[in-house]
Amino acid sequence: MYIKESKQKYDAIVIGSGITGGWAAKEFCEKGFKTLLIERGRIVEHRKDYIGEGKPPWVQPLRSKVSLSDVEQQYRIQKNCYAFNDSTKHFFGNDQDLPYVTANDTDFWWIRANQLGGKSLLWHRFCYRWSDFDFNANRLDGFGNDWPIRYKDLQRWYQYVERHVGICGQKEGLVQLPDSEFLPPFDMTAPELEIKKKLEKMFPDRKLIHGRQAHLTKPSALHLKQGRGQCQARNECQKGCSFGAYFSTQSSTLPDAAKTGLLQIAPNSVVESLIFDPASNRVKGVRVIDNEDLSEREYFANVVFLCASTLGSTQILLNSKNKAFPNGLANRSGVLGHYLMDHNYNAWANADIPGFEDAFYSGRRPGGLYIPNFYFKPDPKRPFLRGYGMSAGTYREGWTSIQHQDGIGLAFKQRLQMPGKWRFWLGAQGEMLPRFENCVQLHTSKKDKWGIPLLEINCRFSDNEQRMMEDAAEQGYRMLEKIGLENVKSGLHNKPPGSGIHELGTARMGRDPKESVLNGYNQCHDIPNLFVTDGSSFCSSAVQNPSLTFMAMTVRAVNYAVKEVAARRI
Amino acid sequence: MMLEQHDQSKRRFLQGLLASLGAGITTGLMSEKAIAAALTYHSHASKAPYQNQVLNKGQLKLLKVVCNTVIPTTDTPGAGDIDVHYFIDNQLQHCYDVQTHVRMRTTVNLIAQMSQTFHNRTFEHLQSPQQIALLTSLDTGLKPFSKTQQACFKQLKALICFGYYTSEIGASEELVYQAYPGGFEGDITYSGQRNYGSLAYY
Repeated sequence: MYIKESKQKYDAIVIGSGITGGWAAKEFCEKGFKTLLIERGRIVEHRKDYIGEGKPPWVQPLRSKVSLSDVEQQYRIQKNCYAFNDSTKHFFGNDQDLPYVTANDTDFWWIRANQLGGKSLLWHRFCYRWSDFDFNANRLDGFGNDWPIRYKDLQRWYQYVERHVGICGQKEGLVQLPDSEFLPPFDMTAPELEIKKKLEKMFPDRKLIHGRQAHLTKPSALHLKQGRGQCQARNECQKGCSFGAYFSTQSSTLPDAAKTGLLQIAPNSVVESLIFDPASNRVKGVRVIDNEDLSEREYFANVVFLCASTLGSTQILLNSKNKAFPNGLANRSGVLGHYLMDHNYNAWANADIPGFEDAFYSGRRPGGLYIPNFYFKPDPKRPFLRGYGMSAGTYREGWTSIQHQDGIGLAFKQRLQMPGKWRFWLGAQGEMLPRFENCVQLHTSKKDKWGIPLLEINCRFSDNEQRMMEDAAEQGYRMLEKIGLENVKSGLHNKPPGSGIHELGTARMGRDPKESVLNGYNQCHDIPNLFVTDGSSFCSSAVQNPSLTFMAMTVRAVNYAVKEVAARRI
Repeated sequence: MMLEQHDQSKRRFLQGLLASLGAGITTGLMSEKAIAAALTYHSHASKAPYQNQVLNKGQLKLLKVVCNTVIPTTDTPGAGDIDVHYFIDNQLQHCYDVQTHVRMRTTVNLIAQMSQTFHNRTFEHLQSPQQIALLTSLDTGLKPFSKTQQACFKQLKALICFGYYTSEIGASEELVYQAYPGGFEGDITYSGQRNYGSLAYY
């Protein structure tokens, strides 16, 4: 299945093997296309290469911490990710090898996962459908362009991917957060059930619901057939999961693609540029630099799908400029690289929960609860545009909290041995407006070790996002105080864009080729056999996590591309 | 008893994994033996004498007593009994900057110095109640200790706790280690059982 050199012309090339690349490869293979999946990083085999899995802290030399020298030399940016530790660090990019530049007075955390499976191994697995309130948002307030698609265009594709992925959750019938096809949700704890009851009574416009996540709480026959098993509630997902209990390329899409016998994978292949044929106005193939020995090679296909991550795909397009496209391939519109977005996670609130001393739990739930966006309807009186969702959950304190309390000796050890008080937390996830000035471009002189110009990122949160986060901190405080929690606190972090690891935009869709790179099927307006289906295609960020939506868009785009090939339009 | 629970948890994982995957798994991908081998926990205990790195031998000797004063021996070993002082020295060397090294050396020296000042004896030779009283004063910032000295000691205390509760004894004997919980149960009755030593992130 793994190849290096190949002379054959493939039916389809998929660049990138993360969430969207895995889906594109599976769909093309199952539709009979001979497919080459190109991955810039190393091979990661399901189970075999999850080298941190199941290791308790005491067998790790630094008990889960990464040495200061490794952090400073190799993971200066990656260390900022909550999931970065000694058992997961091999799934993060090495910052030394993957430099980028940020414009003066700006900062951007670019979290990387350059290996087979990409960030599908590291993601937090939240899956929320978008609604027409999201697809209409740009049109209504004029920020960004109008999405060329609506909920009805994605609905059947959401359903299609959800059945395969396996998403736990509960039907709620919310207009702003359409229900998915669900497996049973994880339990709520006793205090969570009580807080839900009080909060929904005191704030009738708000709901506290089960988080919706790509975890097999009760695998279906389809999931078992994929070789996947039930979630064990270890909450150590980013180390890799031999059960395949969370969705990843390795656990779910790659095995199905491989089963067809039509898949080949070119690992360690850093795409330098796309090969464009001006005579036919088609992309003919891909030029790659070997990740390890830096040699060059080329691959050819009828159709090319870019699934290399938001900034990765845009970097490739920008670096594929030629006489016909002097500002970047498929960039006659001039918007390639612009309208970069993320989510803003900077507001938080927490509090003590009185009582519930006799309530406990077993296992480590790999997710939490969610307060869907209650600002989904535009309101000119609100001091900011768009809205936010909130992650939430409870925990019962243990030694990591109690260790900071006063105490020495026997009584202290006894206190550390027992569970402490219950706590509740909220974290906002705010929509970021699409703005032209938030952009990326190729650096004019600096290059990486593969000779590819570095990406220069110029992105900052605006006053709108700041006002939104201030409101989230205030609302968080109000909610926790009003439902009777104690020691309520709320506040703001100051994390830069990129910290949400939901980078979106820079090769947006649209109806008008003059103001967008892609049409409503993720197909380049300018080049019919080139598609971009990862987060770069997004016109807005909504408040929901984007992965489920770009899965659905990818599957829809493949379905469209296959028909276009059959009709000989590609 | 706790170690037994841990082993049972591991066994349940192996059984559960193979059962749940059933026919969907090919022998080329994995066998029970291969998974069992991959999950064997290797003890890294070495019989060679520990080579100090950040703290000197005298400071380590004192720190061992501090460890056992903060987390004493009960039905499970104390922090000093399981060499948390060596863990701290090694962790400081690899995970902390030079300023932290200086702060931790200064804190250990401060304990030695105050022991002489108050009792005219080394900390190691104080009676247990005197050791507890001295560290409690430092921990709570009582005079003559400053807020800065208190904060430095709190950091040392957190390192002691981290070393202890991420050790096998701390995580799986003093506390309950669920390697493979088998699922999440949100509402079970609490009736005095020990807390979990198994955490997702440390």
